[in-house]
Amino acid sequence: MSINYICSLYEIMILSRDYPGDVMKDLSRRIISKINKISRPVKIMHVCGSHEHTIMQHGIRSLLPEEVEVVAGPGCPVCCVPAREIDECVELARQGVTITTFGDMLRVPGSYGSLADAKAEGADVRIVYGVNNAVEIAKNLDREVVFMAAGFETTAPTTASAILSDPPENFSVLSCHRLIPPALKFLIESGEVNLDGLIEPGHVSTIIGTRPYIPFSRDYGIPQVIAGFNPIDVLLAVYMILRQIENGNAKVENEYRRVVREEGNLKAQEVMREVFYVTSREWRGFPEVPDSVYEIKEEFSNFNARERFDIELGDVIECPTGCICGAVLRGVARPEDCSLFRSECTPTNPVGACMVSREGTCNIAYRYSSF
Amino acid sequence: MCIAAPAQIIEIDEEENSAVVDFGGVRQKVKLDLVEDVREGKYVLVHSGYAIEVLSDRAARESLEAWDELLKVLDEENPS
Repeated sequence: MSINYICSLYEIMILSRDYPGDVMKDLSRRIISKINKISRPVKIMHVCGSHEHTIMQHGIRSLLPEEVEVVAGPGCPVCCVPAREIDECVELARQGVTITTFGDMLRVPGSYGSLADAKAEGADVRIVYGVNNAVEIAKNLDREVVFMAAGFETTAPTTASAILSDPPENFSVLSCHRLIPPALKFLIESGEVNLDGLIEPGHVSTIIGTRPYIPFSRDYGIPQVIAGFNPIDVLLAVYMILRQIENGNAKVENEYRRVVREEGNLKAQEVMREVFYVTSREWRGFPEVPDSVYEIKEEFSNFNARERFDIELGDVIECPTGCICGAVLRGVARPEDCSLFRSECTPTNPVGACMVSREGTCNIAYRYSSF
Repeated sequence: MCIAAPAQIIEIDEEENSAVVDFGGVRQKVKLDLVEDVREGKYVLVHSGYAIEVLSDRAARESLEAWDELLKVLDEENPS
C-alpha cells in the first residue's frame, strides 16, 4: 500500500467534509506513531507562513520526537521584502503618489520609517485586499496610484493579470514579487542550514506545479513533500519525508493533490511569463539572490512605477539594531533567540518585519507559544 | 499571504469574466482570468480576489467508506 493511496483517501475525506467526530484525532495519533517508528535526527524546513501558523496553532512541534526538527524558512513574502523596496514606496508616498498595498506591508520598517509612518505624516496610503481593488481606486482617483505588489508565485499572476486587463493610465505597479525555488537553491547552496528535507508550500505549488522542485532532490539529495495546510497535511508531510529517508529516496512527493497538479496552473504561468522577467535582487536577510524576483517587462513599462517615477533613495539600513529577522528568515534562528522578542518587539510595537506580518515567524510565535 | 480558500461558484458574469462565490455563507466577487473550464456549482480556490485553481469533483462521488479504508491502509503501511 502506498503513501499516495493514504493521501488520496485523506483527500476524499477532507473534500467530503463528512466524517465521524474523532477520526482526525485518531488519524493524527496513527501518523505520529508511524513517525516515532522511523524517527531519526533530521532538520526539515518549510517555507510558508501558513505552514508555520498550522504548526504553532496545533502545537505540532511538541507532538514530534525531539530529534525531528521543523524549521521555518523565508515563507512570509511581506517579511522578505527588503528595506530598499519599502524605501521606494515610502519615497513615492512622500512625493504625493497614492500607495495601495496589503495591510501587512504598512508597518514593515524601511530605512527611514514605514508606510504607516508616511501615512501618519499625511501621505495617501491605502490597504487593499488584492490588485483589483487598487485598479478600482485608480479608476476613481484623479492622481497617480501605485500598487506595491508583494507576494510569491501565488500572488504574482494576479498582478500580471491586472496589468494585461487594460488598467487606467494613472495605475502602476512596484513589483516586490519573489520566487521560492531560487531562494531554496540559495539556502541549500549556502550550507548555512543543513537540510534533510523540505516541506514545499501548497499554494505556491498550485501555480508552479511540482517540477521546479525536482533539482533539489536530484542534485542535492533532499526529500521534498508539497503539503496542504491542515495539521494532518503537515504531519503526513513529515512522515513522508522520514519515510523517504528511511528508504534511501530523495524525490518530490505531492501530499496536497486535492489542489496541486504536476504541471501547476498553466494559464497563470503564461500570464506571468508575458508580463514579468526574472532578475536578481536582495531579500530581507539575504544578499542578492540570483534570478529570484519578478520585474515588469519593458513593453509594460508604463505600468512599472520604477520606470514611471524618479525614486531617489538614501543609504539603505536593512535591519533595526538588535533585530535578528534575517537569521529567522534563513531558518538559522528562532524568535526566542532574539533578545528583543516579547520585550521590545511585540505585535503592537513591532521592531522587525517578522513581528509585523501575521505570517511572520515572530508574530506567530508571539501569538501561539507558551509564556 | 499565500492564503487561499475554497469557495463555490454561485453566478458567473461572462462579460466581466468574474463570478460571485460562496465561502460557506459569505459571498464575494472574484476574477476568473487565471482559470479555465469553470461553471456554476464548481469549487474554486480563491487568493487575493482571483480564483487560482478549480477543485476536483471527486469528493461528491466518494463515500464515508473511505475512512475505514484509510485506517486499514495506515495499519498495513509498512515503511520497510
